[in-house]
Amino acid sequence: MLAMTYLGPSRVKAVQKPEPKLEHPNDVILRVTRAAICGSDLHLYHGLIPDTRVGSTFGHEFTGVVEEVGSSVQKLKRGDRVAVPFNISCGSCFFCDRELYANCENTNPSAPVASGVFGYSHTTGGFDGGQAELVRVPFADVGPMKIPDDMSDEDVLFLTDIFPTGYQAAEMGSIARGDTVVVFGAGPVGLFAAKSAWLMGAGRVIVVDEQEYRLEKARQFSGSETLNFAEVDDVVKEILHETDGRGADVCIDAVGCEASGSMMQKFSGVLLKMQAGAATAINWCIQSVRKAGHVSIVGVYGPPWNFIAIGVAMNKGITMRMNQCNVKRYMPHLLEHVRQGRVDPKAIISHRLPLEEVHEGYEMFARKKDNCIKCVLVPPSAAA
Amino acid sequence: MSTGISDLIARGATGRPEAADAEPSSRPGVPFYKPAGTSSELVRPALDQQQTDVRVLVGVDVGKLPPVFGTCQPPRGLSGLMRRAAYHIPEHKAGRWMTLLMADRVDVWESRLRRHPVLSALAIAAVIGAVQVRRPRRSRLQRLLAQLT
Repeated sequence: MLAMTYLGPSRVKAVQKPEPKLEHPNDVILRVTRAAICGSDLHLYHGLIPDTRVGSTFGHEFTGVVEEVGSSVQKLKRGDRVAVPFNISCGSCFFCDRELYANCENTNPSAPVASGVFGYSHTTGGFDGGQAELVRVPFADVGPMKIPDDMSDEDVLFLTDIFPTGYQAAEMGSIARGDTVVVFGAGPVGLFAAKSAWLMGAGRVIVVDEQEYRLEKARQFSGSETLNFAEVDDVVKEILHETDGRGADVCIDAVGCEASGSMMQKFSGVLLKMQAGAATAINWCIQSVRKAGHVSIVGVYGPPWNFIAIGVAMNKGITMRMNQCNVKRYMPHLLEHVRQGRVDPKAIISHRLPLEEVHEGYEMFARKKDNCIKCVLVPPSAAA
Repeated sequence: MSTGISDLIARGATGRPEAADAEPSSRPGVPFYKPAGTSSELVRPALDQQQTDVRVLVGVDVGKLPPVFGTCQPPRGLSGLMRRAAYHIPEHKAGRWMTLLMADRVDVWESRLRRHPVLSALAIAAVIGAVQVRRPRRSRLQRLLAQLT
């Protein structure tokens, strides 16, 4: 089968690989119909996530058709169309029992820090991902959601990660009616966080980025105000000025470990790897939020640590909340928002490429070429 | 495929949606930490142990193979040895992650050697040759001094 394959930092290619097999009674094999490149895939692509092995296939946002079914699978049958959460969760451990699917204890042999994740290095379990023609989906009775007959794959593709992640980011900010919410990062997760902030009754939403085309998308897609941090001397000062000197009620980090904006953070984190990437967005959140405000982090950072202004956070009495997204918890709720016409997730797709051209997709997304917001890959069998 | 509601969905492409979730109780993740049994409607698969012949590294903090795991890209070569050593270090120690990052770089070089052995041998020979050519020749005075000492 054809699959995206990692060859080293900034080098990926679509090559022929052996087809996946059922390895557990609750596995299914899925024929992929759509797979997206996520912003967090770029951290793998740039070699920032430990134990990213050459030959791995990335991809944790995908939809597909069930091709083969394990002996204990009850919910799915051959031919079902499904959207698959990026978390691999057992459904019965201490955390799954509390709907904290991202913290499942039974799917990652590497480290207890995270659950298994599709196509996201051996640090999250060593599972191949969905940027391929076929993919193995473990615990198929738990994660996958059947796609309603009246909806297309692209209508629900982003319910597998970025929409729930953006929603959870807003939710962890405990947004109250009329709150001012600042979202750092106008990538796909930031766009959905901004949209979700409105759903939760925010009075004002400001999206911060340095790419003008992304800010334009934020204005159009989420109806937010925008701030280009490359055009101001001091982004924190600017936000304080906009909020009567107190700061925003809620700040959201939707950037993660490859943030621009601080030479020191970039140099020490991305180039020297003295910390797990650049923590610029977290620090801006801490400095821009009001006292007793909420900081929500969904940007991805690798282990083991980052340089964070924790003393400032303590003195301001900030509540900081973070987690990988518990996708399964949000899928039915967000599907309803899509169905009611409140959010059209596929509106953020800027590029569709055949899987064979996956290397171009990564390069375009990484270098922000051609106004790339979100790139969706179409396997050969789904293109017909 | 039928997309009968696509016109309705497309309305969500632009602007601010209504504040449908303004009430915190309508948000699926409130409270974030829920009591046990919250996911009771789920089908809970039996936690049968996945069997495999593939070598899978298990972190020292995990202790044993979980019911399911990935079997892609088993460890091999020098990078595999480095990874095996790293998995013996607890995850809260920086040494684990630094060793894994180094192993990742070694893995890239190993894979290049495997994919292009002739090209790699030529590249190594060229580098050694270039070093030899660039080595400064000793002057007659240096050679004389070397003989005297």
